[in-house]
Amino acid sequence: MKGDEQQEIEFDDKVARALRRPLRHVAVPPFDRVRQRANRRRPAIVAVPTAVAVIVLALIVGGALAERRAPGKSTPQPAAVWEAAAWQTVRRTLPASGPIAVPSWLPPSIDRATIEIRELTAERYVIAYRGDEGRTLVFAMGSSPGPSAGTEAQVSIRGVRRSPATLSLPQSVFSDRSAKGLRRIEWKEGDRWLRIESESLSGDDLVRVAWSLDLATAPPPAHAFTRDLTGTCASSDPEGTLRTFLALAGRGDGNTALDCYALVLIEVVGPSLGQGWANLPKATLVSLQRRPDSGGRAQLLVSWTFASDPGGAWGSPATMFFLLAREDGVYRIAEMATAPLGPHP
Amino acid sequence: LYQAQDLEMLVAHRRQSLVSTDWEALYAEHAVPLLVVLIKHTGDREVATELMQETFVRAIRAGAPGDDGGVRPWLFRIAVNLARDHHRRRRLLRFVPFSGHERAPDLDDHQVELVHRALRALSGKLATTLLLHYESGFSRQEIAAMDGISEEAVKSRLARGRVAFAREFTRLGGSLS
Repeated sequence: MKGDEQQEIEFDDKVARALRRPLRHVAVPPFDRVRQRANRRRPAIVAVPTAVAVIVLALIVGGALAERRAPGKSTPQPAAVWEAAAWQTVRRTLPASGPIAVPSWLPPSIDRATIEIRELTAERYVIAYRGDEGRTLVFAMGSSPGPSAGTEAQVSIRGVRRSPATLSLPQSVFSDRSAKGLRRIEWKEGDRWLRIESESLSGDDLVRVAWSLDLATAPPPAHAFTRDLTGTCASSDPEGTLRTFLALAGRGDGNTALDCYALVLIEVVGPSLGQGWANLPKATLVSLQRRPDSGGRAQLLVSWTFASDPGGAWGSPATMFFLLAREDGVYRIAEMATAPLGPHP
Repeated sequence: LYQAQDLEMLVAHRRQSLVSTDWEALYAEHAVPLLVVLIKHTGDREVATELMQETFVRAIRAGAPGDDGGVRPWLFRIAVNLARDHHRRRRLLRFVPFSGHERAPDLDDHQVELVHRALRALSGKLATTLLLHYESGFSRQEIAAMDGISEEAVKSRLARGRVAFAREFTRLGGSLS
């Protein structure tokens, strides 16, 4: 009996997946077109009593539609415009200073054209993107944090729109990395809580989405910094950046070393980062190993020795994990840690 | 998603905002989901776009219902009725000779095209019930209210629709894996 029930559930699920298969390039005309049509005078109602007359009417309608289909006469808007229009609607509804976290990167499995505005007031919004196989990704803002099941594991994430954030994962991911369950990144800007959550995406995809959010309306940086020197350290490959970074230790040129660091890190720690590194003793690279990317950022494990005792918290030899973010086509250090940083399950 | 107090405020706010219906916001919220259902139903993007716009034109002319909880099913009911009318018109057109203007479905995904073709083989009622439930996420109760039938009847339609759709979809070469 249970077997039949299980089969029924599986069959239901298969039919549901086939019917929910997402469409590519769903674009809707601007609302103004609908408004204009609605404001037009209604056509006179003509009674059509016979089937022949119905056929004639159908032919007229069909002909009109066929005519409308002629190439070049109807050009649907590109999907990206629709996505932008949805966020513009959110922008218009919220106060000018209201925080809006608009994604600049989304996993390929998420359809950027199929967006649902689930809630929208001056106080909050809930925007849902849909994707392959029922995947959804929700962006929300409100006056309170999302409810907690109390059993999630939590990981601190730095630099989500210049704010510290928390990634919540189901506890079960520690025994099964692909375990289903809600993953959520949540942070606070002013008195508003923002969050990104998904039942179907990995924590790592969520972190990448969060790190790539548009910075418009984000809080100001703790340390304002404008880069005035580029090309002295940052390279088009992460290894190149780190080799130069090590070579810059002990040279005393903090401004040059600042080119090794990503804005996301400088804005949190401050521009003294560059001088701090440049004032250390000279360093010699021992090993440099690529590790799995984390949140879309390149991760490398680097070991080196200092020419003399560096003092402070540094030891020699030193070993650290580096996360490098892509900025303007080059890689810069966004995070340094003594333990590997993901990929998050 | 939010605390109960927040939710009450939200509902109150939405009710108030619907007094002077913000059609542009409703369009932003519902146009794409409506269009997706209509594309799968008609198999023709331009006809579906036409029907989606017509849904809003009729809704605007009729005026939104006062209860905000009813807006979404109300819009879908208009859209589904328009799609059924379109379906009937197509059936009538089958009795007249080809005009040379007919087009094949213009869906960009073979599997989605098969979904449409399989749905087309079903009765309009079964096809729309399946789409409203599986694609748009309406509950049996909501569909029952929309169509003015019992929840048991919706359950029966879904059961028959699932079997008929699966048979036709696989016959056409679709994969239900």
